[in-house]
Amino acid sequence: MKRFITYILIFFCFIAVIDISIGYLARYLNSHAKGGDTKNHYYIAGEMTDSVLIFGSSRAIHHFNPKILEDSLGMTVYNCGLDGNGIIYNYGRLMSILRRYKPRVIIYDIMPEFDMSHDDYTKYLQWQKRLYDDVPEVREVFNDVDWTERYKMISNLYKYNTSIIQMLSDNVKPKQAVSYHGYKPIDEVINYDVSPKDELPAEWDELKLKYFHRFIEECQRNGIAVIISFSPWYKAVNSARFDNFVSLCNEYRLPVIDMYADSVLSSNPNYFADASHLNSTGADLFSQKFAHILKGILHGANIP
Amino acid sequence: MLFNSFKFWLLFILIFALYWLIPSKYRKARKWYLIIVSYALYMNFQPSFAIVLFGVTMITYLGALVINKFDDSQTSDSNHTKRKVYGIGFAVLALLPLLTFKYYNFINQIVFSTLDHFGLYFDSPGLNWAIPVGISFFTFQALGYYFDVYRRKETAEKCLSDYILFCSFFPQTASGPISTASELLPQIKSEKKFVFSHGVEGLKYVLWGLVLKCVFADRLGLYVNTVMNNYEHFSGLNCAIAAIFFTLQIYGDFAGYSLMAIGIAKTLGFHLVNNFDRPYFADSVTNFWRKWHISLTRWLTKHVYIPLGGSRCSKPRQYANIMATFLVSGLWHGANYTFIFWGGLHGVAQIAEKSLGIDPKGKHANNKWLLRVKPLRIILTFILVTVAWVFFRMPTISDAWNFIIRIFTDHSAQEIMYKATNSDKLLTFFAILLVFIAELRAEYLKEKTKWLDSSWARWLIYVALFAIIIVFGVLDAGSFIYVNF
Repeated sequence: MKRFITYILIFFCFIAVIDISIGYLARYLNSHAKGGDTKNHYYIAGEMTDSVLIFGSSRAIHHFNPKILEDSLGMTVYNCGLDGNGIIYNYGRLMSILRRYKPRVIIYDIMPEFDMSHDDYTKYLQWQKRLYDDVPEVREVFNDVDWTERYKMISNLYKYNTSIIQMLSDNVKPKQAVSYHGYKPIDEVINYDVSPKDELPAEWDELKLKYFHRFIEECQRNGIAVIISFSPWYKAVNSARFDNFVSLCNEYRLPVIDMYADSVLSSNPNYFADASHLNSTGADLFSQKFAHILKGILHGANIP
Repeated sequence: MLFNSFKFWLLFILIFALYWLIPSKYRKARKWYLIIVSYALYMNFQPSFAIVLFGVTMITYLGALVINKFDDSQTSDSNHTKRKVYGIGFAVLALLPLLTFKYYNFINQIVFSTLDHFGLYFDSPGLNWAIPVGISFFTFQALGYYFDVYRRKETAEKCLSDYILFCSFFPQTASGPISTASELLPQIKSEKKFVFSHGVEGLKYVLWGLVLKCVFADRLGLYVNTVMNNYEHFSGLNCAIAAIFFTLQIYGDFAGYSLMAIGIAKTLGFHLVNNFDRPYFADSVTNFWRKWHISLTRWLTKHVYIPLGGSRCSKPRQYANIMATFLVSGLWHGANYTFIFWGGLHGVAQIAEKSLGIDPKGKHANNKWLLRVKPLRIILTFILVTVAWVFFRMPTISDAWNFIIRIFTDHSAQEIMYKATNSDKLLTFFAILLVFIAELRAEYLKEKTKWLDSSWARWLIYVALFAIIIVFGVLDAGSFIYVNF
């Protein structure tokens, strides 16, 4: 048995050497990326100073054109949306930003699957792993999701799990996916039919609700105006799935811009890349309409 | 608790240490310790599931003792009849939880939809219970023992605790391999001392099992789920890629689990049966089933195919036996027409091979022309198996047909692995290449690559594989496909 344990210890010594080396390499790649998601995330966490921030999932990243919002609002706008992510990620992201500066407005585009319903939380940790060492609130998120994360995060190999390839390519030849201030337009038109369906209100997941409370309270404590958005969905009949979210907004008196079933956008396939994402034409039209409503809200709240 | 979770491995360090800290002379203490650990881990899925596991254990244990009692007493016609009646009675009782949990809704649906055709509408109450994890595996393991006792190939186990461990041994409860009593019970009864080579071998199995699961299967699974759950949005080429990926995913997923189960058992001094033997290098569907899920094939051969008459009967009867065995195999996997169809396809393929004499025991098996085109036969078998897996994966038979039709009819120009990022594409390619090279070496190049067996090369490979799992693996991805069965 002694021999067996010795061999295992030697094995993990080798792993520790690799782990430390990968850690150095990954940190270098992260801070020296020329473009792509690596650069975008590094910028958001460490350099961004824009006044209006857009939070949300892929729907946020593909729907809000910062250029159009900037032209209308007269403030700088950055799109911080991230594919497949919701409040558990966005709370960590907010806390990392608040360590440096206070934006004036945050537009949060809600995707019930990621922001309200229960699902596998671990996927929301992937991009927060890089913030883990610097942001105590992020460490709390990890602990809430899974108590074993604190042990896993000792390892650099785990910290940069599945990211190394992306980091390498973003350092060597980044794929130009970002068009302007985080916005990623899609140039496709939906080529299949979707039948309209009545949707039931999404139920709250306790952890997600907890982090929404925290997100809103942090924003209010820091004097940041939070605007909630339900952006268009192809052939949506109504926005009943957000009913429980509207109750939360009422609790905090948050303005809601509900364009989920917008009569112009939601019925026209030429504005959609797929059922849940607007294409660039749709996104531009949506951004214009959204900016117009937002301007009114901000003006009413005395935010220039 | 599943073997691909970090929590399991944190716990396993403790399980392993405490197990070997119990002196080997206290065999009973070790055994009870393993029983407690096995039940505790099983209850981690859902505590109430343990009642079903314990119930099946007790029914087969008592059933075997009862039918064994008739063997001990004087043989008479009435005893023979009683033995048969009790034999069938206990078998039905043991099967009841499996039938109820897994097949009740399916049978219900068939009965009521049939009545509906005749204009008789009934509102059928369905069961919304979760199916106990691994119910098909532990039921078959317990029933295998019980049938062996019934056929007088095994004597009834008298020690209840030994038998409880036989049915609940944690490495194999969730997804097998399905052990026989003659393999596992003597090991449970024997005194164990830690053997260095077994420990190392066990960890090697675990390491490669984790590579197959986390680096290979779960990586491919990401794209499989993207395409197969919304196949209408993908081109024929991407559907074909997803079908091939699923063929590879299910192998990595299940073989990965089996290797981890075998490896974990080895570190505790137990030797479980090997469940896979590089099945995608099979040159016929018959051969595929000698390499795929070996413990289930063995069970079905022993307890379904042979009792039906096996191959010692007329050709038509033999074909009917093959078909019946594969329909049972399909049904074992799940209560859905798709699984039955999948089993049926394998049955048809094997019957075709037998009738053409190209199965491994057929009259043309050693034909020099057939041997020359072996690579072609391997590819053909792979394609046949892949088509069958589509039925296994899709929710309905019509979805599977539509998916297959799309492969051949949709020629839209969509980029390869549409919707996947460049990084995902690269990691998928890397995972396939890694496993292909390893399988190719094990199957054909072992002699030519002996240098890889040297001590330094092995250390390098082990360290590299571990790092690959953590850096490139899809970690904590969730369940194994076969755990659902």
